[in-house]
Amino acid sequence: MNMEKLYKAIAPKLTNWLVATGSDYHEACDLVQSTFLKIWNMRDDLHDDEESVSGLAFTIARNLRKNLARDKARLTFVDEIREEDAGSVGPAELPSEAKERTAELRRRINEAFAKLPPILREAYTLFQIGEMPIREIANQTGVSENLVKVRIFRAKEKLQEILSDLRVTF
Amino acid sequence: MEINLNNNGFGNIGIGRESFGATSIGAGNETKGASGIDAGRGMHDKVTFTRTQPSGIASSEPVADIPDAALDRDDALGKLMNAAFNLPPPPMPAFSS
Repeated sequence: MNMEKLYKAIAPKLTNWLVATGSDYHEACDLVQSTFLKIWNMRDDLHDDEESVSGLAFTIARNLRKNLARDKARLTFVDEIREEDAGSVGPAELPSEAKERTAELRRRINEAFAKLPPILREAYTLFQIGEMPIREIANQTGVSENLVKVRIFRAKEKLQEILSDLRVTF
Repeated sequence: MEINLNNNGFGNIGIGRESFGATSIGAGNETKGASGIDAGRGMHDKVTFTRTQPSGIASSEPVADIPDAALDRDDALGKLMNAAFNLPPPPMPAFSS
């Protein structure tokens, strides 16, 4: 299995999908690396094709994030983090986020995503940011390809309305 | 390059709907009405899905045939997403047996 080739093809999409669906960049990077370590450990049982490994990678990353959220909630409860300490737990400073305009754009889009029903958000982000084929989204979400297309279409309509004031120059 | 989601050149709402409306979704599967979304910029048809899935399918979401042109990843909205979500991945971990 050519892990380097697979990593180059899948890791950028997975990183950005994780950021688009609620992770901060550092968490996304950790999740992507953990995901690929798991895939490496499973390599003998996997087909060496990008589409199937990509689908698996998104599933693993999603599950790892759920586990992480559960662990975080548990730790927060146990440690009872004081409110005055919370300010130091914010997202890390990132080189790419020095580009304020892009960061602001991302913030606006994340707000727009939050206004979408979860099933539309999931279909659209997997399609657009995860660059996942319709067939694979259907597999991942357990619905027909037609329904996936409808969800993406409806998500696009809503996003276009919500973001209609955006003017981006680059 | 400039992406403006609010000018008529954007047209992606329009393009999507127009191409959508131009395809054979079929009578009975849709109702059309003028949308107020682009008031002042020209009216576009708005398609409302009314057909429901056959019984036996768990979801009651309406379905319709969406043409591939309406699912373009590289339209104005897609370009906006690509501009926003273009973060580099982390370095590849060192894999060892």
